[in-house]
Amino acid sequence: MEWTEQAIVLSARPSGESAAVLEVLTADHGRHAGFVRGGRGRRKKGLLQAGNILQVTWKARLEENLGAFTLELIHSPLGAMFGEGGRLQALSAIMAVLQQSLPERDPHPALYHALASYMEVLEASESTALHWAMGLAQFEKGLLAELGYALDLSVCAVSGSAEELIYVSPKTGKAVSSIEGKAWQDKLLKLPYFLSETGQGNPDGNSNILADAMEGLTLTGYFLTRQIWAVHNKAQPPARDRFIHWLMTQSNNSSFD
Amino acid sequence: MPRSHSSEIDRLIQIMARLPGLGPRSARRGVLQLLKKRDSLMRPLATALDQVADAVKICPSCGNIDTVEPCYVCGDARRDTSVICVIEDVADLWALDRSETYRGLYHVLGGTLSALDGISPEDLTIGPLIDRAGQPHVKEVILALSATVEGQTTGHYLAERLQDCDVRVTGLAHGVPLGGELDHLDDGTIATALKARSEIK
Repeated sequence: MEWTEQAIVLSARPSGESAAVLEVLTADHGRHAGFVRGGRGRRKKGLLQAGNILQVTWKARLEENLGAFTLELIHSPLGAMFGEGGRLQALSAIMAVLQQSLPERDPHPALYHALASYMEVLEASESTALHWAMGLAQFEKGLLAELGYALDLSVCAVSGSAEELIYVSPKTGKAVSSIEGKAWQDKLLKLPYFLSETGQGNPDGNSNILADAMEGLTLTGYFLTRQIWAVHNKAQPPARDRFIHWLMTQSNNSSFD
Repeated sequence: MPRSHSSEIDRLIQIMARLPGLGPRSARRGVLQLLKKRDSLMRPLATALDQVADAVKICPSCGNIDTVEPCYVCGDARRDTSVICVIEDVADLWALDRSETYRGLYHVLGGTLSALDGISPEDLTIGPLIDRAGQPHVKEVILALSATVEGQTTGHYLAERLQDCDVRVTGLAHGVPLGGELDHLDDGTIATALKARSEIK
């Protein structure tokens, strides 16, 4: 068995004294692990950092074997992220969410391309904490859809209207309009404009964009917990929790824009 | 399988083979050397191992491993007590101290935050670090953590937690290693080196 593909490093854990077990995300082979000889050595350790884009060749005698990777670095975005806590926290959060949610060897090309785009956003010097937060919420919405738990945010679950969709039912994952949801607003989740499929409610300058970003993460976090993490007796990944905490700290320091 | 030695020697080989850098073959060679030099090597080694095993302690202040309490570093009156260097592991402490360029105190963190290994802030010695950094004579905390995603994420987390202490929080520089040639460096290292460029005087 052998294949070669471009991959994004999710994590690497030590194996023995000098080797590592590398986990990557690829478009055609999904989340895939493999053994890397000398992976803890000086030459290869730097390649195995989360977020690096590699050309990997996986070889194994049988399909079900762990197999071994040979690798070559294509691009490392980490240079732009080192020294910036928010970017690193966002990177750790998305990698932890993927690892905790995605089954192994289940190809999801859309998720691979979404992760590659998110990495570009994290690397771009002009991007801000808001882009990272909204990007993570959008990625998680896509993750839910890829895993078969898509949120239906196109029309109101009660009236069928596509107007003023500002809530989501925590039971069904369907959108609810402002009129139909008014009586139940305490029990409904907020639907921020940037996750809405109609794009309604785009901020006109007075809207609280930070609140929208946090509501987006609350919404996707709720459904990821209920549909995927809790099923495997897992809570929200600590790295995601720390990123959300960091976002709140930034907003309290009034440096969030 | 035919045996050429007793089970006691076999056990010694098995224990030696557990040491880093040694496999069964090199452990056998090591044991054979010990057996050949019983009086000049094996007995002194056994005595030294016995003494250290009885006396070894984790320093309650910095987390260093030593046979005295407080450890040799914390007990050294010539050290600069206004600077604390935070490292992941005792091996990093020994490496930094070997360089003889840093003469302040240390704080062994016990690892880095890692979602994969389930290491959370509670598993690290962050509380004692904040207590130490809060002492009035401490002016600077150097975060000497690995240039990895986990190491740097932990560094930023610590910097955030140390915000309320009246100390300067600094980190190690990243960039071109001594003897490094640019065309052999990865683009991440080149990017960090460029970001951290300094004026040539």
